Amino acid sequence: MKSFALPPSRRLNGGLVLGLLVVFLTAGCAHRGRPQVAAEIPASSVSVSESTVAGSETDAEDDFFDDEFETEGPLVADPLIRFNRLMFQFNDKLYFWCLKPVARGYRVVVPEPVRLSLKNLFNHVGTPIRLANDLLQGKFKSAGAEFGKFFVNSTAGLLGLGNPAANFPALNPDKEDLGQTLATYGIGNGFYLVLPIFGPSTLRDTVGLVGDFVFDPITYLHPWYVPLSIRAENITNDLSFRIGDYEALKSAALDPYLMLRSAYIQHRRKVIDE
Amino acid sequence: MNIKRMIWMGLIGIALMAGQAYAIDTHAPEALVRTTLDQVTKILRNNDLSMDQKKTAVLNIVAPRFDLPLMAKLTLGKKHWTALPRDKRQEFSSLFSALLKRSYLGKIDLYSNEKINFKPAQTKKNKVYVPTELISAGKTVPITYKLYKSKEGWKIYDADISGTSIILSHRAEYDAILRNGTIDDLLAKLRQSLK
Repeated sequence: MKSFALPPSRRLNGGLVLGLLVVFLTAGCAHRGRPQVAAEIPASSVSVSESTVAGSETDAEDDFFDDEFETEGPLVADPLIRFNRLMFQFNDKLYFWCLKPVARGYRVVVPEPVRLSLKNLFNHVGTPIRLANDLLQGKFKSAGAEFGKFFVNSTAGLLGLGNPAANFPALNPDKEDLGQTLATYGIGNGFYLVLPIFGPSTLRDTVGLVGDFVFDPITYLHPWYVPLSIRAENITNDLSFRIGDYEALKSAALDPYLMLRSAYIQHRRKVIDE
Repeated sequence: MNIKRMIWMGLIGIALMAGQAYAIDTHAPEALVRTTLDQVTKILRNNDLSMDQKKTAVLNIVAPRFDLPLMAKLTLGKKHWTALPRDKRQEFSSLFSALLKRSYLGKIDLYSNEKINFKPAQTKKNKVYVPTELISAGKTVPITYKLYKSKEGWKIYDADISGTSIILSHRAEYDAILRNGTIDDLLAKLRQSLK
């Protein structure tokens, strides 16, 4: 899954990139999906040998340099950085000038219980997307859990307006999308791509996003503006719970574009590993 | 024969002692995160305090739990950090600490959620990850606190918010700034952002 995740510094080095690509493409199949397995062996099983290497406590800090953070972190190629930065600016302005004021007004007008019910409903209707991707990834247990959740929320949850299944951890599998499915098939990020409105993505995740529309029942509603309005409502409703998150991230950053790019790639790697 | 046996006994003894010294007990770091968050919740629920007082009180409790200088060092990474003269390291360290305090530790709305879930701690070599979930209406934010045993006991050296490490995110930025400029550019930008 990290096949294409080249550090930006190597972007210009065409020969090296090509060479690495060949190596990664061939090696990629071998460890697709779970590159971190080796690193996740519990410490207890390696503690004895570790003690001889780690030595005294003063070495502890240098230890950090060597393992956890010297892997350069998950990086992504960004050949379209000029376009992406432009899109980032566009989304930034869209958020502050349009989406945020709308979501704020919406939050004032629509009471929280209603917004929560709508959130549950949108989640409920999205079940086929997650179910399809569970199946495509061979995660039959998660697929069963999605099905169980759908059943419980359809009945006890009054057609999906409530989420009683939330009280049962077994009925809350990790959410899968097509971008993750493609990643488990060994397809790398490709390159970083900032989409208008949808925000940070990669080539692979964009393909996944488009593909997921196929599994989304809302896509098939008529006339054309019905799915459009529903999605706009979904975005607004969802945003009404998250006003301030983007601002917080932005205030911590010196270069919000780079921060968001890193955050997105890290987040995706996490959900793919799950 | 006897000597061989003594050597074996000695080796086993050393192995056992080493094992004991490095067998990681997750109780201490877990308790540290738990009590810290409990203390924070208590402050946030105290209606006698003003917003500013709450912020200061939270910062006073949370900041000592983090190893801020280590975080500064890790964020720059070995390549950039080792290349810096001592005074620049110190300056970066204090500016970055200030940024962390402002952007994360003092962000009391980050903690003022309705419920905190604790998940079982995981050990990663000699470090301990304490995963938590902040649950509020319509939103669940997973936050994993990463701790190591410093000379002054367990300290937090990084936190993953929704799978995003504070250190790695900032490193991505600073690395790009340092690659296209100097440490003075980075320090100037940090100073600017803290104004």
